[in-house]
Amino acid sequence: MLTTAVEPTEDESPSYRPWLLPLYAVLMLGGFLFSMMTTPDNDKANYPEYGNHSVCAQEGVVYRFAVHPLYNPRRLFSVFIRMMDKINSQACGFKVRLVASRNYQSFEARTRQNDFEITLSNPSQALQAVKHGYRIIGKMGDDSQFCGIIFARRDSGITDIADLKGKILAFPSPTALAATMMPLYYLHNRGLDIKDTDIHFVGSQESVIMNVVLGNADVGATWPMPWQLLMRERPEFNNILKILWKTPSLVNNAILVRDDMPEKDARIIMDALVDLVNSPDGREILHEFTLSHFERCTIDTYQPVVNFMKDYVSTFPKELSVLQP
Amino acid sequence: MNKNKTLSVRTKLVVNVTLVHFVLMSIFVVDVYQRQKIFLATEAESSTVNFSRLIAENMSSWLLSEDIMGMDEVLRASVKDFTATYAAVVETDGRVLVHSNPSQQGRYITGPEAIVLLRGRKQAHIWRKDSTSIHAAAPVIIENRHLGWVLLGTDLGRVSTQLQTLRNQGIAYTVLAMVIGGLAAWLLASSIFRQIHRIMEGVARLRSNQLTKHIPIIANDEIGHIASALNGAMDSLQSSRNELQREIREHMDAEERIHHLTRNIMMGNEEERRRIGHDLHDEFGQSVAGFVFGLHTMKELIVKDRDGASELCAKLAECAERLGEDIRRVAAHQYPVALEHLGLPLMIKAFLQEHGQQHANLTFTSKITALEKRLAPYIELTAFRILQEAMSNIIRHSEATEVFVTLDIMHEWIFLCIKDNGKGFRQQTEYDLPRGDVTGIGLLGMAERASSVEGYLEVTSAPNQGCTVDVFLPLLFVTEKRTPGERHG
Repeated sequence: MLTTAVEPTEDESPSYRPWLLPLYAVLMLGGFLFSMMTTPDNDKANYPEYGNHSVCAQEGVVYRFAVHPLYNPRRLFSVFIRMMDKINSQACGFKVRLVASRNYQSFEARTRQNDFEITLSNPSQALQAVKHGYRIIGKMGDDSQFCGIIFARRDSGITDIADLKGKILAFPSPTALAATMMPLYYLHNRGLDIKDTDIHFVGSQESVIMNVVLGNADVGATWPMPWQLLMRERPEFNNILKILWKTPSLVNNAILVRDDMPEKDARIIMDALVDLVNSPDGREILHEFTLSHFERCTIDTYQPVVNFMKDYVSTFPKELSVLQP
Repeated sequence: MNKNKTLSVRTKLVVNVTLVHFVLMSIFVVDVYQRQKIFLATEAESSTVNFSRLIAENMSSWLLSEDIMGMDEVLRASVKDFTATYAAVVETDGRVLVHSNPSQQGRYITGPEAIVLLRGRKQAHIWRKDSTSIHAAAPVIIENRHLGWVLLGTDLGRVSTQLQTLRNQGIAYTVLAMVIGGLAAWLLASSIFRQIHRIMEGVARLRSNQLTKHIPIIANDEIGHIASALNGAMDSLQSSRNELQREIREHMDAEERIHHLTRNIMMGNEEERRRIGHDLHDEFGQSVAGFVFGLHTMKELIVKDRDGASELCAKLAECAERLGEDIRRVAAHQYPVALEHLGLPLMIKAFLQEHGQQHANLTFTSKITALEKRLAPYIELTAFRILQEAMSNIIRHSEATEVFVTLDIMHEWIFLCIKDNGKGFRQQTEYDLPRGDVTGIGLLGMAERASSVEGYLEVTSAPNQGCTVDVFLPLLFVTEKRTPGERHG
């Protein structure tokens, strides 16, 4: 009765828009559909396509030029890459690609497996490589620079070989001729019993220098090329380190090619290296390399090294003389 | 009638609020979903590209040295904590050096995207992308020499899962918002309609003239204010109705009084005629008859006995004087002609003196204030007529022994007070004036007379305590041209 009393008549009732509910329903449905449609399906994974042939044009014959661990790979790359460019600029029918080595072990192992077509090896490694299918076609000049450098911190107080007793000696690798064998042989011949020292092999030339700088080792040994390069880049090390002794020199590093490399290609490569000294940009490369020139040679050039290795092997225990002459 | 129009307002409110919540939440959720989708995709692309760039940086030394095992170790260590579907290091010609799936090692990446990658720009970028995965490539570059590529694929399944979770949460929040919105709308509607229901009940009572019961005020909001206003309107209506009823009652009383007054006036007129008739018959008739008889006697005596005629003539003269005096008295009773000559104060004194002589058992005392100017004639006549009527009532009904009359000026009023020590009467209200008997118009007539000149009259009486009549008439002097209608007009 109450409702009847106050209920408005048909004309008086406020208009209610009947299209609102369908509109809302459409919006609701649209929202859900949109939400559902935008959901990605993850029912399958996707991978690149693989095949047995390159989609790029073939470069032709590529010779890999491996350099023994003179420096860490990045530095070695920056030092040697221009040399490779020079060789490639004169190469015909082949390309040379630089391959760095992270440590002596891997370099020597891959050399033994004939992984590289061309190598720059130290003399002892070169003698070993010859046994595994390589031939020596040339060498770095400046044999006087192929010596060992024994150094320590300036504040170490070491002045005499007798002071090395009980000290930590850092070397790159047992197979490093100039940086390990020659200094050890030098120290031994001057009265140091290596059993009285603690010998650490730290992997690379730079690592040896940095270990002495940081005090992890009392004395380190390297050879002039990495020493000069690092002192050029880090002149402050001159105030920290001092050279204690230099060993007598031997024959410098050798350029070897694998026996299966055509003689023509080997000659082109060696010609390019020897010819560096004859052009300004070549001399610039050599200067950066702290080297005056490359020169041709044979295995006979390395007879002094053979003699040294015999003496070394007879002098030191087997763990220090892993390379045989 | 449209079906929607049959819905109650409460239902419409609940449905609409629920739908509005749904629409707004849907828009919000979809927007958030899309933004999150874009953000996650961008973040996945960015992290994949950056991670491939980082791996490329770490991979350079190993790539330079062609240390496959070293590269493999670095690759596996790098992607260990990254949700990569695959990772690979390829040479510049596309040959796979190392791959998280060893079976692909030594093969070449192919396909159109691979061609674009190997021949294209040498910088980290997304080189393949589809709905399920992202493929980033970062070049290994040393000394501006491009040595190879690090490829890294990321499955978007995690992104999809996150989006799915977000969507489900969004739907749940939407449903929750709809439920909360609908519930809130229902509660709000209940709150509103509880008060509206009371108002509707009140309106129904109003329609059935039940104005005494107020609408309960439940909420102190606008609707509560409407209810309060309706209550006020009902109060006002009730008050107006009471006033109207009172006025109707007063009008009815007034009508009755007018009827009574009219009847009394008519009867008073008849009484006055009867009295005049009696007076003419009793007093003038006998006197005139005696006077005529005396004249006839004197006519005979003039001839026979001149002394007797002279004596009779003197008696007739006295008789004529008495007749004249009676005529003057009767005339004065009809209209106080002397009032025009004497003025109200002297007329009252003369009136009291005359009544004092006529009624020895009554003692009249007066306190009459002299007026500076003559009052308006109708004021004087009204005051005198009221005095006459009051005095008539006292003499006839009050059994009083003392009468006290006062005439004075009070502010703008002429104040006339007639007070007696008679038996008085019971007075119900101030206006409960006792009706006069059938021979007069009584207190009611006096009040009507006062009212006719815009004055008023107050009667105070109680049994055995006499009666006091206070008359207040406008103080209008003769020089003033105002009429009674002008006083308040």
